[in-house]
Amino acid sequence: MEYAIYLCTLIAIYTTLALSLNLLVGYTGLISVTQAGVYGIGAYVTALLALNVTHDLLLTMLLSASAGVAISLLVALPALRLKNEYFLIATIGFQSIIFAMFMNLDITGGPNGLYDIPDPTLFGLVIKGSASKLAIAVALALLCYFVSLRVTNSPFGRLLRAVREDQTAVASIGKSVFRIKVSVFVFSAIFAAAAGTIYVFCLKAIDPVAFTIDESIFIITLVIVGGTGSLNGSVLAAILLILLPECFKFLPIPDAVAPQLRQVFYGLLLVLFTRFRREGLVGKYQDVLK
Amino acid sequence: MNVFAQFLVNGIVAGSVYALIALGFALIFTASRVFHFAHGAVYTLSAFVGYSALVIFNLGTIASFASAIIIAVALGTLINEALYEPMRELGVSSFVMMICSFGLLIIITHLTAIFWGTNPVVLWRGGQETVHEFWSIRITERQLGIVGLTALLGVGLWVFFKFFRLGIAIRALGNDSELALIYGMPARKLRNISFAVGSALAGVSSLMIGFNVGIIDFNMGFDVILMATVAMIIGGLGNVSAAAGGGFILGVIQNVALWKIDSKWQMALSFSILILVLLFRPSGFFGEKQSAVGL
Repeated sequence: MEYAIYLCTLIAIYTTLALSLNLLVGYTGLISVTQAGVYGIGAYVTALLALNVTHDLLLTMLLSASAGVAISLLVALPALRLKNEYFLIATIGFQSIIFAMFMNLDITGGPNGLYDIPDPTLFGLVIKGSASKLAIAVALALLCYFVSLRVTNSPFGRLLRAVREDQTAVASIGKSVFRIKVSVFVFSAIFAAAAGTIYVFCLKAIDPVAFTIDESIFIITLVIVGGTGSLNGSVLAAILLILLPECFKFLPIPDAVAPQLRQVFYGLLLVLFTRFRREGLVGKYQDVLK
Repeated sequence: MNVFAQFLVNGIVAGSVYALIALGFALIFTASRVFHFAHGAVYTLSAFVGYSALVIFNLGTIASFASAIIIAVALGTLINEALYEPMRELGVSSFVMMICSFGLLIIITHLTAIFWGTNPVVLWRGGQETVHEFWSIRITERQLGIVGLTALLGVGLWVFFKFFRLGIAIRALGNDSELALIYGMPARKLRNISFAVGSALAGVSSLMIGFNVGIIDFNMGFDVILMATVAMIIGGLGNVSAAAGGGFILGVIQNVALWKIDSKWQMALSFSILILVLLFRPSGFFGEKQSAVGL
């Protein structure tokens, strides 16, 4: 039972991460490899606040999201000037720099990370037990889903779609494409960092290995498998990609091989979907990844 | 002064490692305009195949190199034929091919880990090693070999792309593949040749570097391909030998920086250089004029 709750928590966290990245990919056509870094910034800021200052859930989440926004602006302002492939390579660079900071700074605890993180409080009540933490994780995922839905259906969402379809046309009617892209980037960072807050309070310990470039590629895989531009697709992909590798447990596979096989499975999905089904499981906008 | 010179020489040795892998990576990029990250996996797999031939089956050094090169060429051309070419025919952008390539890098890297294990394996126990001293700067025989091989390949490829018909054709193909097709060039065949030669370079360099370091592990291709990307971009896109130059620059900067900066920051330093180059000099130090900047 405890394990089932753990898996559901993971699904909720990855749903949030995939949704937040999907808005960026689905509406700007740009794929950022820095998502795990921003997620990690949220997690580390939360852990440090909880250990030293406050473990109020909403306050830590707010501050983590602000830190995430600050970092993502630092990434976005230079990187968004670059074209597709160069943008992706620049974000690989930023991801590696952020990871090196987690790994090497004293304040982040180096390779050991931070542990013994206290339970969060919400309106003065201490939240204990994995089930209630799961509820918070699900609440964030739902919030992210509905805000994304609201944004994409708003006039601003129409503008985003216009950016996706024809940037030159958007620029020609006097809208700043750059500013639109930066705002999507910021929006995406808020939820990624908030997911980091949830992660810290659920696991009560963090180390840098959770925020590697592989993690970023996994989030990208979720978005591509689900379908770029499809919110439901990202939710579905998070559920499937967390649960399916659990089936390996029923196969006679040695323990040492299981994590490798999991990576092979994710890599295979990335290759198969980019080769044969670029619209993803439920996406319809094939033109984003053309 | 001597300390500085030693760091410089170490940098050139480290740089030639990046340069070797960047040469093949850039050759493939020049022909196909794909950031072929799976090249890192070709590099890893060929090293392990060479290791099996040498250590497990005891076939000797020549067979080890031969098997590494054969597997590298086969895998490289297979990847192009099975993935990139069909995607190109569908009009898929090179951006998506790049993401596909990432997936492939993950698959092959972890399959290598499943077959050969996650622990590093010993390729070469070392033994007597001739150390040359020039004005009290030390460099081993094998390090000299790697630097020499890199310089030779760098110059050779420069001559090939500058003066030979095939080389010029491959460059033209990279610049404008549609125009190349209109002129009746066998585009697909040229790209396959580039993948074959580029992958062969990965096969040779992975073993050369494996012999120099002594051990190999399944993750070796991942960091190396990222560094090759950095080398190629700071060297300048569209010019294969420039990538080797970029590799040398990267190696020298990394090692000279060791003077002041802890080695744990090496990766971060390299990527900071990459980002600065992308922003302020997107054509690299020796590359053709082109822009990475734009919407």
